[in-house]
Amino acid sequence: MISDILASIRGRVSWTAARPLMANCGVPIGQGWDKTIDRVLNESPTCDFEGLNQILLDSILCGNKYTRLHNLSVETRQAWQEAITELSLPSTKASEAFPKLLGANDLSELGTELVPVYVHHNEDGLGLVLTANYPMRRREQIPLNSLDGLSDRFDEVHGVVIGPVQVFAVLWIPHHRDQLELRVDYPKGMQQDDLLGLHGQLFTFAKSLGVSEIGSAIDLFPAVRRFYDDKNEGRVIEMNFVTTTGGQKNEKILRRMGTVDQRSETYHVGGSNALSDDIKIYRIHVEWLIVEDSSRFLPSLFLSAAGPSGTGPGGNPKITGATIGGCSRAAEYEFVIDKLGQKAQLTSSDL
Amino acid sequence: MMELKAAKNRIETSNLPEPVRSASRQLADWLTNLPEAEGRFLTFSHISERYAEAFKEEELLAALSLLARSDFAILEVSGYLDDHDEGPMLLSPSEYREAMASGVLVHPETGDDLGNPADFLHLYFALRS
Repeated sequence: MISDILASIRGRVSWTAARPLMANCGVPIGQGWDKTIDRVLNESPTCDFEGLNQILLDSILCGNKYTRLHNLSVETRQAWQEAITELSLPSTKASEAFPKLLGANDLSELGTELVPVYVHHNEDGLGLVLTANYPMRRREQIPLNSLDGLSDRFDEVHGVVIGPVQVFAVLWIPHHRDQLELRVDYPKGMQQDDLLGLHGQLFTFAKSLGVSEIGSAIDLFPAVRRFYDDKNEGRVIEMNFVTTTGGQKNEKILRRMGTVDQRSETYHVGGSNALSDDIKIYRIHVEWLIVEDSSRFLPSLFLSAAGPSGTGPGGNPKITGATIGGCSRAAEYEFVIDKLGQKAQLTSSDL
Repeated sequence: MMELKAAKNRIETSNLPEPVRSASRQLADWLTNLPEAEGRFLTFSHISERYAEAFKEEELLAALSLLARSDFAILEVSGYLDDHDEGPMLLSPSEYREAMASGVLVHPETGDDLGNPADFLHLYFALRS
């Protein structure tokens, strides 16, 4: 049913991104999700179901992912692709529903361990999709008038709701890069420890296939400064750095503020120019604008270290994963990975 | 620059009550000298603090409305909402107009109907490009 597909898209894709994609599939768009679903139920439009399923599939493969890259040789890359292709996947409720999300009852039965549900091929590569139930913590404000005796003491009261969310992970082997990509969902609200735990699960699963040794994740820290220095590469919307004057700065552009670039923003330039020595950047968030026909796509890349020093070469920190967001389609994800590869200066055997 | 000069001429020849005309004139003078990069995010709170000694809030609002909505407008008006996780989230001028005209504010990320825009949106202005 179309309402099931829309409910799944709602669970995974931002409204701003989903709206034009759904409109292209013949969905009558209302003001917000609830009114859009009302229109669909009332108007019974003829929609492009395949297109809607593609939106969902793309969000599962590429939407809001934390990705680690591992080097492979040409031979082992091919071995991984063969191994994935030959996998026999169990038939489960999650695999039968895929790409739709499970309903509340079935989701509660889905465990917190990743289970494989689908194998996907496209012109970019081949991947195994896995899914699990993640207990998401969500903060909600509690109306003061619903709790006796608290309104005298408190101005606001907040509670934490722990509710299940279906998350996906992808074990991806590109056709044109000698890398193993381990991607996991990184939705808003997921705790860092849980993200690393989910990623660890995916890594363990990949190892269990016994295809080849999986080396350490590629260090992406060298890309941070290169993205800052290349003023023509996307726009920087957030960065963290320290100064030799003892300052620790987080600078960011207001969310959805058009084309403003933090690298050239007046306040940042003035501050940087006041120093005789360079700033030390350890975290950067880059966004690109891709316009196709009347559609706008805003893929982004976030590289984050905890601070300016670490166990990497030259005392630099290591960044072993990239958060890739804003991708509605595989094309945007591949675009970002390509940019990352250029700035991280991955060797030709890796690309 | 030509638009700003034309705006100032129109202000002078308008039938506005004097406090509003004076506020409009002073705002236009300030905006004339503002570098483009510094005219992207002008909150009402910033403007009212700047002119707190000179004008009442309602006079400033009337002047800003003139500078944003007249046929010689030099400002764009929009709004932003405070998202708990993301901080200020800007609406584009067209999104703002749609929300104000319909009386419905839709959260740009979640697509949830938040209700009356006036309950959630804070005004901001930007120099027209």
